[in-house]
Amino acid sequence: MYTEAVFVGMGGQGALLAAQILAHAAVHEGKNVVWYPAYGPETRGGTATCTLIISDEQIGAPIAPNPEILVAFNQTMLDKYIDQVKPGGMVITNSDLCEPITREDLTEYRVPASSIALELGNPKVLNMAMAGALAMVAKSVESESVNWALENQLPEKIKKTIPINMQALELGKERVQKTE
Amino acid sequence: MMKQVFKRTEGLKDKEFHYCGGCLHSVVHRLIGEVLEEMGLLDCTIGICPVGCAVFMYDYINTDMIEASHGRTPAVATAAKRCNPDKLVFAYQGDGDLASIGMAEIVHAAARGENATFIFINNGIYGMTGGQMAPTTLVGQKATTCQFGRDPKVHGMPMKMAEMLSVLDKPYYIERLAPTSPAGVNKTKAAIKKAFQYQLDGKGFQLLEILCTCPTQWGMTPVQALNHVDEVVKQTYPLGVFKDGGEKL
Amino acid sequence: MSNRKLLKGNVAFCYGAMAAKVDAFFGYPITPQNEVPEYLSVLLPEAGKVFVQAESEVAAINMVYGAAATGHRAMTSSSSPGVSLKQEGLSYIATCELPAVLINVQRAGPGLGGILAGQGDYFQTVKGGGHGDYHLITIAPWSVQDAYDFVPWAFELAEKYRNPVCILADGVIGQMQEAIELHDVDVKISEKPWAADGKKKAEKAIVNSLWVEPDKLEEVNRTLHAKYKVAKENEIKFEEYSVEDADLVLVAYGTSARICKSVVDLGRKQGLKIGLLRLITLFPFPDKEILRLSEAGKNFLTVEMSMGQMVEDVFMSVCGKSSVDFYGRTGGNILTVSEILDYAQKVIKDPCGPCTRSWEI
Repeated sequence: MYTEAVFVGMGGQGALLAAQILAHAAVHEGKNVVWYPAYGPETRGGTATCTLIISDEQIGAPIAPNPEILVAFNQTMLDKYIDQVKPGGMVITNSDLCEPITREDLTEYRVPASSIALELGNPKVLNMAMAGALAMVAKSVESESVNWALENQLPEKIKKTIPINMQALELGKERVQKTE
Repeated sequence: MMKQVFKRTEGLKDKEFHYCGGCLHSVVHRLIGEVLEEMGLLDCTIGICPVGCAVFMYDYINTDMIEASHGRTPAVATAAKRCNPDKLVFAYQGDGDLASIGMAEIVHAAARGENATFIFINNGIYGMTGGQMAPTTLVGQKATTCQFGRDPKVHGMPMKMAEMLSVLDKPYYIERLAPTSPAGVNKTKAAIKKAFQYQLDGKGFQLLEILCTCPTQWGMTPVQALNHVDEVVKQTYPLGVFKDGGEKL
Repeated sequence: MSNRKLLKGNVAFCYGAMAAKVDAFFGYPITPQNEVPEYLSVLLPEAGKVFVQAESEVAAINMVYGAAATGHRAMTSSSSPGVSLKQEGLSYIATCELPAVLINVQRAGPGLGGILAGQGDYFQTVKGGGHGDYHLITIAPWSVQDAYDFVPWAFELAEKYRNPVCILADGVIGQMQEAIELHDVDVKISEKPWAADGKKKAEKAIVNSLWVEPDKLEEVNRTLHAKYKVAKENEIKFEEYSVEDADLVLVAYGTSARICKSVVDLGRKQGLKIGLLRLITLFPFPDKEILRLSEAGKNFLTVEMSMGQMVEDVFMSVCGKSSVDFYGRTGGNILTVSEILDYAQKVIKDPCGPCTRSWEI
């Protein structure tokens, strides 16, 4: 099992935290993990990107300039990063904020992450809907592990949001759809 | 058997000073040694020496000694005291060391209120390197890098360290002294003792600015140099207590 | 499983410092190593230890000097421009034979440079960096686990050789998070009878690097270098990966070595006979090992995030017996697996040849 994904979003969309929760889940399963955030000038203009690699084997290169999977939270970041995705790779988009992609060599999965979050009454949990979609598609971690990570690794001050995050995760898994 | 009326302090090692005749470094060294001996501190003190004329101080003072790089004496003293809070830590610096290259270190040690004793020798000149201008060189005073005398328009004005550091909140005791007479020597010794006692009592940062002579670089005889401090240098650098948490000023 | 923790490299350095029973940390903020002083500003005082945010890098290294001179386990961390400022202090620490540890989370240079990862401080670190004839023992982590493990190891080396040790990391190691084991460390702290600790002893201690007698100072230099010789005999560490049957051996350290491991995996899948020599100690440098491999007919491709620094040591090690090529990226650009693999394929077909400095302008 080897998953190599780059999460891209705007500040406040929770892209980094979503990837980190998946990272904790993978660690909980005994897998090897690298989570690497963009820092410095790359984050100017309020963008948030990070690399997440999950593997059963020892991980070599800790960064993925041409990732197998792109998890895009909005159109701006999708446009900025789509050309970097490895030929034949995969893109998971927030369908509420992203147009269908035009690169034909990529597999596209769309999940209405913003709608899911609004439906649950907390716009912030769109990130866990995105995480759920990735977990479903890449099969890199089990739901139980992600739930464990939410229970044990969320910052103290947002602990009360654990149940709604878990719901967002499940709805993301349920509603992610491959574009045929 | 004759009665012994004077003996070299145990606070100094049995080693001849390298200082020029009439230089007051040796007087201040002796005073430090005497106070350390009298207070019973020789086996629980860490001294930090500077770069400058007093660079060999570790050969003279009979305590554990650390030779710091130029200007960093307060940084070394900070660490020595923080790691060894039960020891007496004193640092010894000249005017190039403290007021020029090491200005940041002394100001921040003072601002943090490091509980160590800083002895600052101000003779207004770079002695060891051959008489260059110091930040404390007096207006009009000649030096090898201001051969026509310090010109405020070109070189700015002398640094008044005791005054500058006194505006900070944390220093506990700051005094300027001049051991140019028997009375001045006694006063300086009493001030060193007071500073060490404040440190032992955990009071915080103490600094003694001691006006000293440099007959060699000033081009004076030792006696002329002593008079020069009393008559001229003190006009720029007035003696006095600038800060004393233990006394009403 | 549950004793594994997801930690950032910079944070792992801090836990490593606590495991190493560090007495004191002195540092100054600089990206990308800021988590180190931030975490230690909490962890050390909690443990009754010393943390000071110094007024500058210069003050910080001299505080390390002061703490080490009094016999305490002291360390600092910084990133490239800040490490440049520490060089004078490191020269003093090395000359006074004091144990101390410096972490350099390298960023891209030269000058103010950038804040993304780089490996341009190799020369500065392993060749001395400050004035005079001294060296830092230098070890290069390539994972967050190493970030934790190397701090106690660095102190062990520092005390064994009474010499400053540099943990030469980079912005990727510092900023990435990986799962690591915070295992217990058996810490042996050496006796320090030489310390100027203000304790009663037969003879007063003097910590000093001033020797005005030429013969005495030369003796100090010889003593330092005799020590480095012993370190070279005993401490060299590296890892070989698929080297045995390789025609081309990639030589790299830190993040570059991690990337090269992926290059080897991918290259092997394509039938290329390539391997990796991952260097762990950079000083002492494994020149004999590299010579042995070159005598076995292997060519080398040194890969760095620099314009070519470590490649000089590889080049000297092969003694003209095989070919040493170079591939590097700088400016904060991280090497990619595909570009290295492309270059490796080119080098396999057309190596620069023995005694040719391929990396020079």
